[in-house]
Amino acid sequence: MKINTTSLTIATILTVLFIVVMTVAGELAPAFKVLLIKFAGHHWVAEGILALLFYAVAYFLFSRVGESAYVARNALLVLVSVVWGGIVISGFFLLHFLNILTF
Amino acid sequence: MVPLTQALIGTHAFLGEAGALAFLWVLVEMIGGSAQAIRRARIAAIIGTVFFFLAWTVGGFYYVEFYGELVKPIIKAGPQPWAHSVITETKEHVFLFLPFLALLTTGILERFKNEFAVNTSARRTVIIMAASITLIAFAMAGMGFLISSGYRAATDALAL
Repeated sequence: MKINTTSLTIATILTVLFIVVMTVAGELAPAFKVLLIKFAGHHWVAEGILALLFYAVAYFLFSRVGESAYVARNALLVLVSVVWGGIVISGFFLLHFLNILTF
Repeated sequence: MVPLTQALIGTHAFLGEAGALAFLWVLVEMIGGSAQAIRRARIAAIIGTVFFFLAWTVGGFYYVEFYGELVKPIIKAGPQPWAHSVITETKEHVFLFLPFLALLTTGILERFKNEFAVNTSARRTVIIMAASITLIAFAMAGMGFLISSGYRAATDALAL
């Protein structure tokens, strides 16, 4: 089976976004964190399992998308999402630590 | 005898660093770009990806079973509470990006394994991805150092 790198790229970008959303939602909405804990015993374990499942489902769903010729541009989008995700997550916890963001 | 917690931290750090070095190896091989170099890069990428997943498992076990109960309260009560509140919180989530980036890079290597000689865009992509993975993985190691420093500062303050 030939790997569809466009689908893999989309799955990676969406998974990064999914991790960021789960991280922030878990802190802002205690009910969501409780759900994660109920799912796997620890919210972080649940986030990891859900990220893996999400990645697999996203790859499968987008695997019918035709392979893009723009591999480098797609990889750049992945890196932009990773940098953006890192800034959002670290900024979120920094602002909370400095009591600028309270929840 | 080394306590289990130290063995887990050491193993987690080793696996993460080995994963980073494996992707540094990918980067070097892809700059070379010969057919043999690409074959070695594919092997290195698979090794690096496996190491990241193992680092995730071992570090996760330590984090869930020991860190929250034994380490986190001490750091938070110490002189560098940000070591947990900002650094650990960031590290535990940003780390999750790495295995997926490693899978993507391995996937690109497998997909274009016979085309890198003519497809310079794909080759450049793997070089950029491998460099980014190496940098992020070493940043994780740096964050681990800051967390350990926060713990040491807290236990030193308790000892005084």
